[in-house]
Amino acid sequence: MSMQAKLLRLTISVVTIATFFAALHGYRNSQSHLNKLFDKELVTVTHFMAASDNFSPQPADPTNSFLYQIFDKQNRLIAKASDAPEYPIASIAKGFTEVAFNRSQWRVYVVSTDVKRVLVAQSMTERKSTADDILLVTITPIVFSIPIIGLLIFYVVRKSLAPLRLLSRQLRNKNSEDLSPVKISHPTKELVPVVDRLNDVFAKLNDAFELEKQVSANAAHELRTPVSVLSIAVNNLATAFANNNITEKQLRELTQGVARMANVIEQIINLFRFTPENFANKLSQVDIEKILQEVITNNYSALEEAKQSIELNSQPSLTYADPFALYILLENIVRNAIKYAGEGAHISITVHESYNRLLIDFDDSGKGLLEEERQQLTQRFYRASNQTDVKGSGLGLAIVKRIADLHGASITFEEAPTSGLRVRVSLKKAKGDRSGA
Amino acid sequence: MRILLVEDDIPLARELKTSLNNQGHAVDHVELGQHALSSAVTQDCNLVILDLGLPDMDGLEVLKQLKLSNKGLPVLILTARDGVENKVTGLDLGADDYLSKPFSSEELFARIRVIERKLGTNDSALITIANVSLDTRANTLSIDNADVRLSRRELMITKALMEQEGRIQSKDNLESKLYQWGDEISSNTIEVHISNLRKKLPKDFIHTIRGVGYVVRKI
Repeated sequence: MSMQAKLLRLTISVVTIATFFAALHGYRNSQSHLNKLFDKELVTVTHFMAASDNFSPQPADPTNSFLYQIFDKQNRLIAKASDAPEYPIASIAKGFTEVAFNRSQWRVYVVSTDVKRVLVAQSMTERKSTADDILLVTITPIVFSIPIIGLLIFYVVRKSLAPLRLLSRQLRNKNSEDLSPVKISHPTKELVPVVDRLNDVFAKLNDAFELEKQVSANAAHELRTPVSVLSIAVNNLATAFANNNITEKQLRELTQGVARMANVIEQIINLFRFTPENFANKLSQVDIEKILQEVITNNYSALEEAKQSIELNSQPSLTYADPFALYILLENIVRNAIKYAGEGAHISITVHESYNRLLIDFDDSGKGLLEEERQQLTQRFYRASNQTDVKGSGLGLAIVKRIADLHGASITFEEAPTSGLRVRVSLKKAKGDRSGA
Repeated sequence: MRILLVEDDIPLARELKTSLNNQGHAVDHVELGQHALSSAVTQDCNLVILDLGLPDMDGLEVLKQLKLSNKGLPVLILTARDGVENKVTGLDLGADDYLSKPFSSEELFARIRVIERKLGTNDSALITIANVSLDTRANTLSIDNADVRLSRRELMITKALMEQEGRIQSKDNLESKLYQWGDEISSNTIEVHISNLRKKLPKDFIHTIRGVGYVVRKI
């Protein structure tokens, strides 16, 4: 059952029940008041008849609700209303009583003087119907107002539930294709956080789907190509084995193919590990110098293979980061430098402070990049046009950008003083440190 | 050396066994943690290569129990899990070294050689790089077969660099090696020793990686 129908049903029932009880109470009240009023009238009439000496009998009047009997001291009937019976209708000497005759109930008042006894009776049916009439007059407008109240309530409920209905309709039309934010024009106060949170979730979900789409489109290519390279290399080796002329070059190619495959897989694992959804935001104080030393140490053999040299100019510099994520970020930049700077290049890493930021410059003495190519660098899977001989997954900088975003760090690409590329990472400095080693 | 290989991935185990055999090691292979524990007790082995992702029990638990039954048995951990915590836990539990997948066979051999030297079971305790030879058992160093006299500290530093050839040793790292001997170290101790060593060793034998540390390059 809809909330609206539930609310309507509940309020209208409550109003009806309340009206009913009000009417019941009113009926009882007015009846007792009426009884007092009728009694008073009865008393007045009786006393009047008792006081008047010459009382002439009246013809029967069907509209008259009163009947009377007058007896003398010897209890003989002196006068009576035409409808009244011959015998005394009540035996008491004075006061009120209720008796039954003429097939109905009567209220009787008796007054006795020195010479006579006067009995006046009034029909109870008459009294009841008068009370009913009065009640009807008071209750009728209330009864008629119930539907109007109902309509009013219906209108108010419907109007105040309108944003909710809108939200529900928009949500019903949602699917994984459409994760646009829901829009409620005048949300009630209670709905604002609901709509806000929902839109947050939609945005996150949308990002995740977007990433998934991009990655699965590109990952397929990035993963299948090295597998093809491997399978061809193995096939060539098998042929060479049959001909007994396996060369060292073939083995080296196989090794390179394996390394490439391993690299792509690592990158894809990293890309999925550092998504906002599973980044727990547990930042701790880390020393960038230590991490950079570790990165250089772990990538030294690749550097040596490319006959490159490296230097690190820094002092202990603290920032808040997830150490593992920061390691991956810095390692990706260093690896890119090693990969693209070319043989014999020199890589220089410098850490310095500017206001409350820590700037890490990765300068290489390679051939550098054109201005527009630098701008495009952070785009996922983008690979510079002047590189055709180096095989990369194109995922590295996407990972760098993602980790940077998670840490509120920025990455910029400039021309290095050494004519190569300068990658600058700007991180927030940890507060209150000027720590020495 | 006799090696117990605990690895549930059969193709990986097969290749590892072949390459370890090629290096002259005898390899017993088991796939389950329980089997590893019983084999380690009944059979004589010098080294356990333990994969942490086993189907029957947690590899760290296997490590714990192995170390309980034989504290001196060296254990080298292999794992595809990442995270520094795992590495730290493994080393805290007494693992001698830690390799994360994917690793190259060269890396593995190098780690095994270090463990062998530590055990003193290596037939040749001799590390030779270019014309420099270091006898890790006798603690002597020779250049072109001519003995060179080094101080104990100089020898320690040379040994650290030559054992891990091609791998940068940070200043901190070298300092902590000297600390292990209870030596007092001032801030420039390492620089002084390196500078002295350079005079005794061939030119460019020890490279300085500015801001990072020192390395003896692979030839």
